[in-house]
Amino acid sequence: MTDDLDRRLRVRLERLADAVPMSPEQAEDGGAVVRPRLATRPSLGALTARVGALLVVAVVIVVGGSDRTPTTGAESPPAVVATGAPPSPSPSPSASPTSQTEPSAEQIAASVQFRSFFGLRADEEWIRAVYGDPTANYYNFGVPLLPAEADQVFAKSGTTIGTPDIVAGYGATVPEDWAGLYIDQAAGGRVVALFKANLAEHEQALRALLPVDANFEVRSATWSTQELDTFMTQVEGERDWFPTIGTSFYTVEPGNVRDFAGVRVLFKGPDASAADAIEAHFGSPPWLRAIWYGPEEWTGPRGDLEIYVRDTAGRPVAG
Amino acid sequence: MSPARSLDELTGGSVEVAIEPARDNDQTLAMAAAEHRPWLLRRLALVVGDAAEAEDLTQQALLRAVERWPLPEGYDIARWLAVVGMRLAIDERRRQRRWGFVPIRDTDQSWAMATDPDLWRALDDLDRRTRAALAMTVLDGYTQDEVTEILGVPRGTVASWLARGKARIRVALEDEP
Repeated sequence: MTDDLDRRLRVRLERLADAVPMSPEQAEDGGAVVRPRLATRPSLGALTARVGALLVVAVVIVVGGSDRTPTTGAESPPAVVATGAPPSPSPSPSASPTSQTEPSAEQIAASVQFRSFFGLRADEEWIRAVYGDPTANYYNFGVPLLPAEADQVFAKSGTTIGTPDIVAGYGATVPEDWAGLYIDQAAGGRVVALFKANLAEHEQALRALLPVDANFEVRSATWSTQELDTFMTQVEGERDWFPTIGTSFYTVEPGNVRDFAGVRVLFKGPDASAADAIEAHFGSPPWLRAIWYGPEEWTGPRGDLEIYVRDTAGRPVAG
Repeated sequence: MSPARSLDELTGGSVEVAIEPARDNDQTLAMAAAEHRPWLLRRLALVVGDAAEAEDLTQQALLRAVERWPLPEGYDIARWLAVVGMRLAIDERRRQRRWGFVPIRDTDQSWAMATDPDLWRALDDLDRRTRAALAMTVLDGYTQDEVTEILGVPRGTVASWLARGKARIRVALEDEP
């Protein structure tokens, strides 16, 4: 039963994956779905070697005596780095440091300072291991941290040093104006803070909190996040009304997109024509947009649809 | 390897770049990127739903490969990229939630809805980690133990995700002839 489900699911997933839109240059292979894993399944011996290497990593970490020893694979430093194990087809993404990932003395010093401040493990061996780990996050803090370490820093008091975190932390203190943030990649990763009102006041406050070279900008928004939450609650409270017009409520979400600010309610139904009726039910407010999310799931009988094509002479057309 | 080389040059631009061959299989980074980008993008699109976001994540994964190229001997580039891409896909969403991140454009899942709405709706009800685990096991043939290592979570957690995910999918598929 499970095998049959897996087989059918695989066929459907393949078809879905094939439908992912991509530009011609992205699909240089002509769009074929490459399945690298099946072609490169390692031998049992290789897998055993990997497990052995991971066990050695665990031993080394315990001997290291840190009270913040990572407990999952996601938090572990690179196997090859920590153990000096010989190269193997390791399942870990972590690569041993190459000349590109070897930190300088200044970088190590910066890491030690940062990590000590936030109570993270700060010995040089660990720092070098994190530098070699591709899952490490360089972008929020200026020094690389493993995902679990970044979570620890985020979880601490509001003393975070990433620009988005400072901006979001400030925004939470002014909920009546705060409207969220986004990263403008086209502007070099600029943090754009949105406020409903008092923009000059908020910009001044943020400048006092952020480093002088912080890449950020304050822009105006139509609705605060507090208002969007209220709108969403209002729409969700009417979910039982949707079936009365032959539709069903799917979800509601904030939609601060370029051409629309407000909330979007997604509904299922025969077609998109009910959108106007749904918006009208709420008084057609400027903050609401109803989006058709496809038809209801068919619960009646199913069958195959066979299509035959003939040319103008009545001859069957192959394919 | 030249530090001035850009990712565009390496991954499909018209500029021809001489790159030191990988030690394992004579595969250059440019060739590896061209070979692996399409399937990685497709896998990540199944996980995140939005094709543009999947493209960004694919670019980030390839960028990290550039930073660390050549990978140590014996590393499987496809697997390496899958691990980095999947972890980025999952971590990025957590980071955005933490910020109160505001999207600047609609998430576009129309490609999935137009192709297989029943299946996509079932997948869309699952979280990203579950979709990642399903794609890796069902589509790519990874074992649960391997997914455990890739996503860095306990084996029981992966088993739970897969059981729950397949139960949902089964409902979507069971009425088919």
